[in-house]
Amino acid sequence: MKINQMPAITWGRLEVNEAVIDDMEFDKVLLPSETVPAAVKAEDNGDGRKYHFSDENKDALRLDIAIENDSNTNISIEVEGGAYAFVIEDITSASTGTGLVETSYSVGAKASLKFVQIVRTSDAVAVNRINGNAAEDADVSLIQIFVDSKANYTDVRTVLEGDRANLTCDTGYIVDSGNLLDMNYVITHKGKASECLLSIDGVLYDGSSKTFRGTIDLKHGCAEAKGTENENVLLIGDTMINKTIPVILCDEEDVEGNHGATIGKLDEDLVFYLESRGIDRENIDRIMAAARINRVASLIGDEETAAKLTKYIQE
Amino acid sequence: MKEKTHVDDINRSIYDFRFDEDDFYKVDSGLTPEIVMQISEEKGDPEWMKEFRLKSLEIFNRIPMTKAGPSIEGLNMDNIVTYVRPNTKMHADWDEVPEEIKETFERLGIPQAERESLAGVGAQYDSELVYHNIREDVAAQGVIYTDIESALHGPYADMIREHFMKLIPPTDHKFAALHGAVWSGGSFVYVPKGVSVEIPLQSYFRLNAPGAGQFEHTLIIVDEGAYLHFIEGCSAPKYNIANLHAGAVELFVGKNAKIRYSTIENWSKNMYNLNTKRAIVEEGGTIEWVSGSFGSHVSYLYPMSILNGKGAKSEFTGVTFAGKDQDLDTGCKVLMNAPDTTSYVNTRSISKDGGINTFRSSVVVTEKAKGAKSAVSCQSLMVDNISRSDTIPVMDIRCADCDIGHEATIGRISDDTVFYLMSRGLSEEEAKALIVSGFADNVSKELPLEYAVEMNNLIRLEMVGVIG
Repeated sequence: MKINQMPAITWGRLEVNEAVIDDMEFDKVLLPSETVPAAVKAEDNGDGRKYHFSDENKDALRLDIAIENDSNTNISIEVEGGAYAFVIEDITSASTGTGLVETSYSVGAKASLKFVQIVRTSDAVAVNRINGNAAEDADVSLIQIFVDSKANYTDVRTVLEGDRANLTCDTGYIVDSGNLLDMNYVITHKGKASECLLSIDGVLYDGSSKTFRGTIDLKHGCAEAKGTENENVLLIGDTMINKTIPVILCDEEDVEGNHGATIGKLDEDLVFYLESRGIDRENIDRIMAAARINRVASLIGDEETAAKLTKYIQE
Repeated sequence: MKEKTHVDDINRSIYDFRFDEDDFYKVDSGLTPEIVMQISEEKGDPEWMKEFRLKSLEIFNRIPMTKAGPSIEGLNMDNIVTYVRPNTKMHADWDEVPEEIKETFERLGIPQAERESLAGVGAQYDSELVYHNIREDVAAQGVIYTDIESALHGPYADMIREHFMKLIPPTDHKFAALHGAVWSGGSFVYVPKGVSVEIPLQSYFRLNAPGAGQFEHTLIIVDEGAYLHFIEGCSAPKYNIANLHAGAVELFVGKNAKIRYSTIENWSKNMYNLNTKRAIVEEGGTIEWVSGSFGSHVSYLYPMSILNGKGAKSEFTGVTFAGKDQDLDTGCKVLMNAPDTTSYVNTRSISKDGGINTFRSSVVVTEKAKGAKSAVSCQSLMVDNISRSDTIPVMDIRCADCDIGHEATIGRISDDTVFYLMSRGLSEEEAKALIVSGFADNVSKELPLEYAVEMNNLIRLEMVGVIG
């Protein structure tokens, strides 16, 4: 089955227009293990769970999802106008196979959502889909950390519907030898003066494979909108596959679109300096890789999650 | 509320003139094995070329059209006449060229440019070259500059057979296959080892016949340590029916050699420009592409550099201007397949009057390319809110020991800058034309002066509607 499809395709021989995985049914409903703050209304929603935030709520909604083969977890987050929501989704696995997690969010006018997602599924393959929309003056902060998954297919789509709607997305990843990370981000600007900023930082080790597709789609009428995406990739080892496709689609004059990417190994001068301070090359690589994740981890603002993650990276 | 100045559609009369072609030889419209054989017979192809054409036609009929790129629904191959031969042979003296054809090139300024600033000129009218000449002192250095058809039958026949459509095989894509089947005209250049051709050669392609296709083939081999600057120009009068250009350019850059290939493309706005250009660069060699795309209804144009030798370099400098009724899909491809290769891409695109620009690129760094360095910079300018501009770059990196950078911006003309220029006495159109010319100076400063002037005139023509 085809997943992570780009809205604007390019030459087929580059094999970046979409990802292809084995056909799956995803017919095993799997509910998350949840810690729900008192002020949040949680209810069943068909085969999934729905969480409704109606006012200022500083406590985090914690969702732990241990995917299994063919599992399907469906999460819906609604943030009412003027409310604040803090959601932490931790996707793990103790088995093999392929599991699907679908998260949708809707953020009302002048509301805020801070959505932290960690994907670390070990030997399992994660198919991770996020669909969202943001109303007028809404503010969405998406913080993602991807580590230690045999394969992680992440598809993030957000529509900035309202005027001045804002999305910041900070993603940090480490892809180990033999593992695969396939990301697809599609941010659609419809609202006037809407803004998005995608900052993707990652590390690829020898024999790993990663694809980052980032599409900023500036629709007609989104005057004064601004979309920016950046990816920085550190390559450690000799050979790996890194594909970066930063796309801007622009159907409006009075907008600003920017994208940038830097891909390469550690700067030789930096390595020389650190080696002269007595740090061996293996530790230099580890320190620099951790720095990429820590930049993103420092944005989480939740000690329990940050501690769990820091410990995990140090392992 | 911001006020917009309406700029009327322009008068392109300096390019938009035509002469009758009643006495020209033409094949029927459409694409059949019989038509392909008819072209082959007319051109006196050697046997291998006849077979090559038929095989290419078979591939054309078999492979699908790429899904990436603008729609070409308006192009019906059944209506395209693939071969139109003017009623003249090729000459080496302008005085022997028939008057109307000569006048065409006079009005385009080609003989004058030849006298003033070129080492040689080839002029193609519809499907065949009508004029070809090279300066005696350049020829004396052993430089070969001739039409492909002559080369196919002369002392360079083996060289042509060895290189023809080896960089762009007919299996590459549908219109490469079409080119293989019906190609006609174009130039062959060979620059011997160590020879530097100090002033440029130029080929100019004029497609005059309504509903016709032009399929010229340019094959350039620059041997070890040699240098060549080759300039390509093209134009056509506008018709109400589709015309097609599916040329091919194959460049072989030897060890420590260098080619600069400059193009000012100004096809009429009924043209489907589905052109393919490719260079392979050996150790220490350099390919420099300088590309200005102004014309065509639809363009697919992505010059490709294959850096196959250690330390090989490529530079691509391009500007694309998409106006009313234009959907221009341009960019470049780079394959870095050897150690210490470097590539630099610097493009500008301008969208105006409902024009659609797409910058499309790929930079592929293979496992062999240790020490590779690449930088891509593309900037797009939206002149109004009815136009469109997309950028779709791909980087495929498979070697850790490399340094790859990419940056792109899309934006509009600053109101403050326009206001400032207007306060200095310029009209809004003049101010915007000046800003766009400055925006496109990455290309104009890489061109010989006469061509930079032509390019700036084209920008001015698009922005203001007059020259001068």
